Amino acid sequence: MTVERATRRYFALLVPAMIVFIGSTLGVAWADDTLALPVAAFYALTIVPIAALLSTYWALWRFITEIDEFLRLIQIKSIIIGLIAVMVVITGWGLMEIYADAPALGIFWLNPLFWVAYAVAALIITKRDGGVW
Amino acid sequence: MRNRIKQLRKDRQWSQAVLAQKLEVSRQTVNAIEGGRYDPSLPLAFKMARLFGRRIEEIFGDCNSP
Repeated sequence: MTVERATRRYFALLVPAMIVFIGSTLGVAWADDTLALPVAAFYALTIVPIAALLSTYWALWRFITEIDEFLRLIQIKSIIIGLIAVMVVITGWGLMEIYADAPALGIFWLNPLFWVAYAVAALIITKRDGGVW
Repeated sequence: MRNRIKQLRKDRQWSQAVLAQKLEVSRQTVNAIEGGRYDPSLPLAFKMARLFGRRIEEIFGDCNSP
């Protein structure tokens, strides 16, 4: 498969899945603010953003398996940097919460943090190594 | 690792895009290999060797070798 086709397939799934994730997350927050739903209903509602989230990671996994070895290396390096960012923030902030009374950071934000760190790393490494985005 | 990909490609008057198509990789990958920024896997190196009709050691060499 060509990298162009793999990239098209990647964004064709990633973008709608991200839109559904963001929309359904906002929907859950709206329901929490305005509707007196039972707790079980909120558990059920979270299935939608979770399914969308799994779709985003499936899109990433499929993209990595469909591109060639050099571009795959760039993506894997970027994912590792994204995971490092998450680990550093969760550990550092966790220590501050325990010992410095820092406000609690919702673990919900670790997923957006991963994607931002991964995307920035992918752009920088791609520019440096001459890959494609 | 040193390689002679660029020279072998130019001998055949192929563009990077043409070589990439023949190897079923991206042009960026060919560019990175030619520029010494990426060492290909053994399967890709064999594929290159077959394409150019050379042995792998005739295309790739250790930086410290003469």
